[in-house]
Amino acid sequence: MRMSNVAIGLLLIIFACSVLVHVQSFPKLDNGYPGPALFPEVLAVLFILCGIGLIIQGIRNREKVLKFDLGTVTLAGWINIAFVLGTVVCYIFLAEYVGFLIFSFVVLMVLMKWLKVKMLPGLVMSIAVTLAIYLLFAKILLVPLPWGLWGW
Amino acid sequence: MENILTAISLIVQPYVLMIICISAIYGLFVGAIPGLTATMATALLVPVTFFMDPVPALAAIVTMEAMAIFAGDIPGALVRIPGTPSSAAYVEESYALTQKGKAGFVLGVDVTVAAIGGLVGAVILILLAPMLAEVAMQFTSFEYFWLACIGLSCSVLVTKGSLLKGLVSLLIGLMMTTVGVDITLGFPRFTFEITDFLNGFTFIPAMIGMFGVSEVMRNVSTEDRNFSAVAVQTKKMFAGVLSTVRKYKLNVARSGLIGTFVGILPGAGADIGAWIAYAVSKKFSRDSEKYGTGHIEGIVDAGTANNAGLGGAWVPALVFGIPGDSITAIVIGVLFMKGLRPGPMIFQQTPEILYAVYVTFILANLILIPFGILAIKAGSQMLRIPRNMLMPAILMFCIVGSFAINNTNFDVGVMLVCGILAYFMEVNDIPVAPAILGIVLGRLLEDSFMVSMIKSDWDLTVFFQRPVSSVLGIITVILWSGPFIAVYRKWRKEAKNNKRGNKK
Repeated sequence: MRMSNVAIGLLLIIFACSVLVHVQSFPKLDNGYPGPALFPEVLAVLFILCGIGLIIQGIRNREKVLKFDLGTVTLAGWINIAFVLGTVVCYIFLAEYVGFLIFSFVVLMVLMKWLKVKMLPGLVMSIAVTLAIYLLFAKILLVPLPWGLWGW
Repeated sequence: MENILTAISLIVQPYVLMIICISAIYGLFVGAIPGLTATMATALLVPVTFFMDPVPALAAIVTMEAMAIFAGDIPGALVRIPGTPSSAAYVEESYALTQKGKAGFVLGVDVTVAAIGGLVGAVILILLAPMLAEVAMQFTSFEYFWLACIGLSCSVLVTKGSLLKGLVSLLIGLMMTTVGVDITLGFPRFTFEITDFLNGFTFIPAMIGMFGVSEVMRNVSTEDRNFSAVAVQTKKMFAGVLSTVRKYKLNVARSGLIGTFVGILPGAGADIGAWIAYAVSKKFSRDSEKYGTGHIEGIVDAGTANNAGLGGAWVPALVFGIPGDSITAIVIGVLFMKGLRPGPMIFQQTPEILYAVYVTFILANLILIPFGILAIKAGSQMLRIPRNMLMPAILMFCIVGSFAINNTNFDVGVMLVCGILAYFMEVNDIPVAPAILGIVLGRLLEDSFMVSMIKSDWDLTVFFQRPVSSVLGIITVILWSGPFIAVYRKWRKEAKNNKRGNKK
C-alpha cells in the first residue's frame, strides 16, 4: 500500500505528538534534570521535523494530499499476504492446543494449496519441512515446541 | 601466532567443519534463489546459531554470507534476475554474455573474482582491525557516543533515494529501542503494563520479521514466474578465466580495495560496493563504450567488490561494535544477547573468537571455488524450484525461529509486527537498513549519552573536552551539516537560475 509523502508526514507527526504527550508522565531525575523522557522526546521532535519535511516535499511535487493506493500488488496478491499473516496469528492462538506437528503440517498444506503448488510436491514438502523443523529445533536444539492437547 | 594456532585448532574440528559445510550449502542455495537475500539468510540462521558456541556460530555466518553473495550472480547470469541485491549492478552485463553463449565463462570469472575479493577483504580485516583496536582501547563513553552518532549518520547518508526517508527509518529503529526499562531510573517506558515488553523488543524475532516475514509477504504478493533457465555448459568452464583475471589484475586489486572500504562504512554493504566499483570501472576503462553489451571487465570489478565488502563490514563491527552492514548488525545484536560485547575488549579477553572469524574468512573464500562450481552446475535446477513452494516453508522457519529464542508466543507477535512494519516501509521507499542500525545502536547511543551527562553533571562541553572525542564530534557535525549545505547550494542555484530567467 503506497501512501503519499504528505500522508506519511501526517502519520509521523500524529505518532510523535502522542509520544510527546505520553512521556510527560515519566519521572524526572532528582535535581529536575530530564531522565527517561529525554531520548523519546528528542526522537519525537525529530520525527515531527521529518514529517514537516515530507509534507513540504509532497506539496512541492504537487502530489495528491491523501493518496492511498494498492500499488502494483493485485487483489490476489493482497489475499496471499493476508493468508501469510493469518498463519502467524493462528500459530499464536492455536498452536498450543493443536500441537506443533499437526499445526505445521496442516498450515503448510493449506498455504501450498492456496499458492497453487501441485498436490504431490506440496504434500512431500509439507511433511519434509515439518519433520526437519521438528528434528532441528525440538530434538537437536531442545526447544520446547508446543505439544498440544493430544501430545503431538 | 599462538592465537592463530588456537583459532585454527578451534575451526579444524569435525563438528565445526560440518557446520561450515552445511552453512556453505545453505548460503549457496539462498543466494541463488531470487527474492531470498543474504540478510534474510542470516536472520533465519540466527535462531539456530543462538544455541551454539560463539566460534561455530560465527563460522557459520561468515561462510554463509560469502557463499550467498557469490551465488547471487548465478540467477543474474541465467535468468537476468539478481539472486541478492549485491549482484544487481552487473546483471545486464552477465546476461548479455549468457546470450552470447558464455554463461559458463561468466560464472567461472564470477566465482574466481569473488574468492579473490573475499580474500582481499579478509586480509584488510586482519591487518586493520588490531590497529584500530589499539586506538579504540582508549575510548570512553564520550567517544562511543560520537562513534554511534557517526555510524548512524553514515547509514542515513549512504541510503539510495531520499535522505529524509532514510532519517525516518533511522528514527523508527531508535524509537523501538526506547521500549523497556530505561538506564537512568529503571523506569519502564512504553511497556503498557505488559511484562514481556520490560526487556524491550526481542532482537532476533524483530530481525526475522523485518527480513524474513516481509520478504515472504513481498514474494507471495507477486505472480510466481517460471524461469526458463539456460543450462550451463560446465565442461571447460574455466577456459580463459585465469587469463581474463590476469588481464584485469589491476581492476581486481582496485575493486577489492573499493569494496572493502565501502564495506567498512556503517550501513553501506556489498551491494553499494558493487555499484561503486562498477561505475569506477566504467569511468576508467579503455573500452567504456562496450559496457552493458556483455563486456567482462565490469563484472570482474563489481564481482570482486561485493565479496570484498563482507570482510570490510566486520572491521567496525569487531573493533567498535558498530555494524558495517545489515548482516553484521544482526551478528552484533546476537553477540550482545549472549553477553559478548564487540569492541576492543574482545581483542584482549576473547581473542580466539576474533581469530576464528579471521580463519573462517580465509577458509570460506578458499572453499568458495569448489562449492561455487557445484552450485553453478546445480544452478538451473535450483531455479526450477517454484518459489511458492519455498515461501510457506520459510514462513514456518520464521515462526519457529522466533518462538525458539524465549519460547514465548509474544516473540512471534513481535516478529509479525516487525514484518508488517518493514513491508510497509519498503513499499513506501523507506529503506530498512538504517532502522536496523538504529535498533542495534540505539541503546548504546542513549546509555553513553546519559551516563556521560550524569558523570559530568549535565555539562554538554565534556563531549568536546577529550582530544579524540572532540575530533569525532567535529566529524559528526560535518556529516550532519553536509545535507544542509547541499540543500542550500541547490537552493542558491535555483534562485540564480530564476533570476536569469526573469532577466531574459
